[in-house]
Amino acid sequence: MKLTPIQDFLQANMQYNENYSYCQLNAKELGTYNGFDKTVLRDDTYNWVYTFKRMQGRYYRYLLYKETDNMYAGMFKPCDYKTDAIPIKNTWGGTGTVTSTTLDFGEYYNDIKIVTDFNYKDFCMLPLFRVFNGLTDVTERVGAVLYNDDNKAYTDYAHFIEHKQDITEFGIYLLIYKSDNGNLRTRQKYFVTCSYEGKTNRIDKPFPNNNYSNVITGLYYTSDLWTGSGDGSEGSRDGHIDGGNAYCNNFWRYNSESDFESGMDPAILEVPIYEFNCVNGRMKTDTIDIITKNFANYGLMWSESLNKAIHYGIDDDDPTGVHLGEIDDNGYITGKDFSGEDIENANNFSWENSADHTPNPDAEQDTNTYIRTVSIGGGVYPYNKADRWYILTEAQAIDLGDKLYNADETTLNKYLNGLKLFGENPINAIMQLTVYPFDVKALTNATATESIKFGTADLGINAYKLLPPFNSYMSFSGVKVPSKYHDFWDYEPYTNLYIYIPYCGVHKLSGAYIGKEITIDLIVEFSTGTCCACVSADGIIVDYFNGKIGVNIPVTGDNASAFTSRVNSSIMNLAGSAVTTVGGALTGNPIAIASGVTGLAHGALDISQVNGTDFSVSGSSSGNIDTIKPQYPYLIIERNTKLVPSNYGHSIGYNVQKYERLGDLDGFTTVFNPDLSDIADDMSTDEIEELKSILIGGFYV
Amino acid sequence: MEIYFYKTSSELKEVNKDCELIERKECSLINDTDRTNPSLTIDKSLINSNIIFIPSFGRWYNLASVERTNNNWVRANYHVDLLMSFKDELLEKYFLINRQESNLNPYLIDNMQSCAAEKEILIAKFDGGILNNSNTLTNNYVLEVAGA
Repeated sequence: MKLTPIQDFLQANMQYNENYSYCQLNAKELGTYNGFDKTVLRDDTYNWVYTFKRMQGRYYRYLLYKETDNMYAGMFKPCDYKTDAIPIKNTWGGTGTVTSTTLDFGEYYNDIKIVTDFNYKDFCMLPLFRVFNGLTDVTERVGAVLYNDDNKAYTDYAHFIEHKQDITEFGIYLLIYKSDNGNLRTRQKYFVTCSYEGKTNRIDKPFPNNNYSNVITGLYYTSDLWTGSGDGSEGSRDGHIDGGNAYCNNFWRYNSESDFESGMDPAILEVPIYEFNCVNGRMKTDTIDIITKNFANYGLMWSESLNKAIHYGIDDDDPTGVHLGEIDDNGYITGKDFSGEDIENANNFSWENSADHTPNPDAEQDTNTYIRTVSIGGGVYPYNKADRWYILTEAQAIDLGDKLYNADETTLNKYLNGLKLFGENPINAIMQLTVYPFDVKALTNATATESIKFGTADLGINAYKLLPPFNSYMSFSGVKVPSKYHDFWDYEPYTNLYIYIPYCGVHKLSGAYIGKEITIDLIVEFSTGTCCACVSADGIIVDYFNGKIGVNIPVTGDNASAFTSRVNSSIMNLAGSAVTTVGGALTGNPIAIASGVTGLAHGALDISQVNGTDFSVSGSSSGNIDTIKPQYPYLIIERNTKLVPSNYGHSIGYNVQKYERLGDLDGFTTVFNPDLSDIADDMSTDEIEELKSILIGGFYV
Repeated sequence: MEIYFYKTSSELKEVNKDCELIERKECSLINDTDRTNPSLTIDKSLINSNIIFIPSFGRWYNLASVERTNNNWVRANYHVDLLMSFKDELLEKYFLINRQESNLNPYLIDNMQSCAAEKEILIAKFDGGILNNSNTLTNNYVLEVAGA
């Protein structure tokens, strides 16, 4: 086969891996290759393919124009999803064993770079869905929009959203609608690949040789999409990928170069995967966002309905239901999805072709691995392993005090004999007694009980044992910060957010929470009585606020940090001090024993009235006050009242800061420092200055 | 010179004014006027025309003032309408737009917008948690005792 110049280039820069049928392109050279421009690709049939490049541990996807049919045959080897060639990680990452090759999807990145040379607005992707409720195909019930030559009905995104609560299983298919080259006729179905029920179904035959090298790819995790059926577990999964929990949708189904070149129908080939099953579950609240983001990662326009896919931007200017995945100036996917009127804010909205931006593979890349959720959790639980921990009821706490301070001589001697190590003072065995404003047993799921022991002395109080880890957390939810104005007024300093969290005080929140669902995980640490509120926006912890929730009951003047030195001292002076103390004890006044301890608090004798004791500081106020404050978090939304008259745009104009063609605008306009040098040759200086003044001061288009 | 007399109700600072032709006439400029501020002596019936086009100058002019000279004639003073005169060139040209009526980025801060002194305060309560709201708690004491 005679190679064209660009074929020469591509072939020279590929590293063909026989094992994986995977072609690698030199990203930098591809991006800067002079031949990869209109000169080479002009007047070709319009065909494009994706390919991927693994470079420095990352994968890059390339969208390439096809000059002629089969031009890239033998050049772009199809990738097998079971290799590390295909999947591209979405921004949130995650892990999952997908194939027998034990591929960790956590290694994949979404640094997708599109190198292309087509008119972006020629294309519009149309996601289609087949949806099920249990085993019942409900696609037609929710609103089928078209049938394909596989005799199956498909519905669109809009209907999918509308009926999402009834859907327990779905498959996604992406159709590409494309207008003819530059003629901007309404778009036609261009080509499509899909997968369903264990095989790849061909819906259309766009190319003479059935070239299915076009790729729709992405990666979802089942646990991202489905929640359990009320028991908190994930929904059951369908084991399309060796029982793994990751599902990806790629459609490069050729196993060999010869298969590819033969135009073999890929339907007979490898098992496809693009189906999301959850028999008993329901979609999570952010399932739709995840799917939407995946569509956005193509950097192309996509629509919620068939009608928009065909007409928007051609003979229909209403962007409602139309989306655009953003591409930055360096050609990288940003992962942001713009829709409706907002699509004009996408960086690539005004791009017509590759001349509108300069792909720059050398540009600094965002090398971070972004994750979708940040949750609490850890594995280190520092605590004093030499201690016993108990959960007491109020009655048991009273009983404890009674036993300690009102013991008869026999009982007291029993305690003292078991407390040699503690200076023969039962009070000294108590490291801390802390009261919490919640049921500790309920929070820690404690079940085992044990009689409280001081040293070897059994107090005869049967209490729940508190076992490691000595921390737990409770969650609060149900608050979403609404966008009221849908403009900058929804953000600081025009809208301010404050959050009150019990025992952590009131804190100002940033604009990161606007439009997001706020959740709070209040971690309680029992060894210190401290707490930490982890405040999340849509599942990502943004703020940590510390506080004090446990109220120390000063049974003893010691504290845990002083304990060790005191114990050491007790050991060294055991004999002498014991005599003295025992002597005091023998007077029949157990209080006298304890009185040697500094700071014996009245609370110790009045343990039932804990709220009146000497509380530690909690948050910005004392624990006593904090227990009176609201025992639930709340969000304070403070908004300025926007006073913008209805004719503001017509009289003053909105702040724009865009470089625009004047003829594309409508209404009142002002411009910055206009350059009028090429307007007309016969303009006088005075006229130029006057016109500048008008343009700067404001005029109507 | 040939002059086209139009009538328009469009805003003075509108680039593309909607004009209705009233009459096309041969007129002479008054001697002491220039291309930027021409004056004409016209039949008073033409004072309904508030914008004219002078082909030989390639410019449009807005009626600035009218002075009566006798019962049938008036002196009409004009000022060049640069927006209308160069509308084709202007509409094709790209500018850095500062303010605009309809093509806006709603999330760009606009310091010219004003707000009232009073503020809207909303309180949203969170659900969940097991913090105490009464004095009926149980199992809410934690005792740490030395000795494993």
